[in-house]
Amino acid sequence: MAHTKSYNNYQWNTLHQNGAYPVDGLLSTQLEPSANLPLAVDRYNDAAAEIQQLLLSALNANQGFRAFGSRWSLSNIAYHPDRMHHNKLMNLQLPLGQEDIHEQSTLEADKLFFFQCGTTIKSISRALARAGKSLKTSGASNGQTIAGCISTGVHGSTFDFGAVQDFVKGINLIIGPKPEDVVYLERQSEPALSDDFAKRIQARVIRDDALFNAALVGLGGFGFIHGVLIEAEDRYLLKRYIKKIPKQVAMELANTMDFTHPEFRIAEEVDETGQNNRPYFYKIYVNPYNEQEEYIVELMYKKDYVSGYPDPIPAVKKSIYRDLIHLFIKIAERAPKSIPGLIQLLRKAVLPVENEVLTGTLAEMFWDAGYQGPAFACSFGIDHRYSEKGMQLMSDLVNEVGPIPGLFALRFVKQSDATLAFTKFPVTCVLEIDGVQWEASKQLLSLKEFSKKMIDTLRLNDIPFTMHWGKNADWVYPRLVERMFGEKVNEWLRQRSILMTEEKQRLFDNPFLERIGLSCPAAEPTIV
Amino acid sequence: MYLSAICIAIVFLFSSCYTVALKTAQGEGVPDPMSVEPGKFENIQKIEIDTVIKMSAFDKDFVYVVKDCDSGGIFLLEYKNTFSGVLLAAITFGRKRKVKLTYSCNLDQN
Repeated sequence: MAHTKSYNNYQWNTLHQNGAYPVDGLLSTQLEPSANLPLAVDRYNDAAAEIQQLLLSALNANQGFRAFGSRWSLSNIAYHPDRMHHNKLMNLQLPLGQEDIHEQSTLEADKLFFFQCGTTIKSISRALARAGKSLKTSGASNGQTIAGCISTGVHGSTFDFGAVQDFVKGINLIIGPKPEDVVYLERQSEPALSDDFAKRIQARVIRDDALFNAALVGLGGFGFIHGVLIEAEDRYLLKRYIKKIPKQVAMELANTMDFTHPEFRIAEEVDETGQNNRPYFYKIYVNPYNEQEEYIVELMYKKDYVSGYPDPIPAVKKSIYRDLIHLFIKIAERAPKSIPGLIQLLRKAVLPVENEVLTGTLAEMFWDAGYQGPAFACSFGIDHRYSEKGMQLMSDLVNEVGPIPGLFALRFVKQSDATLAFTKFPVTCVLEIDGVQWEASKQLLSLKEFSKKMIDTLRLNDIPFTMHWGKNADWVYPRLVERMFGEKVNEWLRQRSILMTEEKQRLFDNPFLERIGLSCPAAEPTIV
Repeated sequence: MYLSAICIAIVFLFSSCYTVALKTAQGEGVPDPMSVEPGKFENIQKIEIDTVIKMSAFDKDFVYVVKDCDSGGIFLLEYKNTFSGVLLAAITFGRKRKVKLTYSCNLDQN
């Protein structure tokens, strides 16, 4: 049987050290060795039984229970003071055959893969590569677990696709200790796996679009995510360019997502009719303390896979544009060890161009994180049509109320169907600021105060917004979630109460859900 | 004269203390929630070998066998060379070598 190690009085923290938080009991489950249970599905069901035992124990002790994986969220969305479950050793892949596909499914069997919750993006990419497949998108790096990604809405900058949760087609949840508490969820409108598959994992099937969409970005509140069905695609290559282009052009591209812009051209990325190719990925980097007439932009174009391309990892490893926090840290390395010194440096720093054009798979381009130390990161989602305005407001804000030791970037993500996805606009511009943590003083306002001022600024200027669930924010801002999602909040709560009794909801509630007002059960629940 | 000797000693001291790490591009370390010390081994298993091996003056090769990697692979290996290690090898004419290795096994893809 899978076994769980427990550690008492643990100090839990996020990867970027935004805590620490005391935890009564930390639990870590290890799978039964394959020598004892050779079939992956048997090991999977054995692990499910172990999780159900842990849930029963938590219920009996009247304690809460939350899972965590790689701790990559900077907010305390994963935290629970009672019992926290480390699931990163739960990394099975269940093989799927044609017989496992639902008879009405329009999905291609060879593109569907089923992974256990703790499998990281890196592991998934490796498994897909062996089958000649690739993820459709990922975050800027690869260390997050699949369950963590979808629970918080991890995204890249794929404005014609979406975020990580948008390639998920099925979710296996464990919501309590009873046999009927193992649930396999899919959309009614998009069945993927057969009822026989659900039987193999000893789950009852629920096919319901509204419930699936609510559970998809479930913020950890829809039970223990045990397994996830994803849709991959044939492997492809990405060709990456770092360019410096006029600020106005960069922002017009952001505002319109129209890459046929007459003043924008990458000579190698033009089709036979002379039109610009449409990129797969677009990102703008902004130093708000030294705004130039030109911005650094990062573009990636999708190409057919061919073998024999030069290994991009050595260049990716040394590139300063691996992700925003890495860029910031690389610049900050040259600064004296004081915030004023750092700000002085930022005022002089001009972001450099990297002329090397890189080609690699998605997994190679978004390889291991370059920096995993202390950091803060705030991300707002706004309609991409407000990109320029939003960026200008934020830039003005840091110069007025700051300085804040951070840099900005803008990424772009297509709308998600998930009820509480923060990528909710037709194309969401993710306006992010990443940097090092600092001590508030008379000269420097606190991160919480700064976060509040960012929200105030967007509200005052009538820019509808959302915020990344896994990032730093003033999460106690009055009616914050309601302002961001309106009626969808009630829909999420209603679906949660349909799936789970109040007792079970409380089991998976945590201080984060309580703080943002999502821990309350909806009235008149109807159990499915 | 003395100053030069001290400078040479300092240069020798610093240049003899270094670490080299080897990491597999596609691999992943075995997760360990109790490994919280910042650095390369944060969040992953950290196994240390800190020992002195005995070799004859003519031996040029030593294979250290580890048995604790179920996956059969190592994800990250760090070799540390220290001044004391260099000094030990020098004063024993190479018969004793200090070995300081830290590694994490590769996570089994289940």
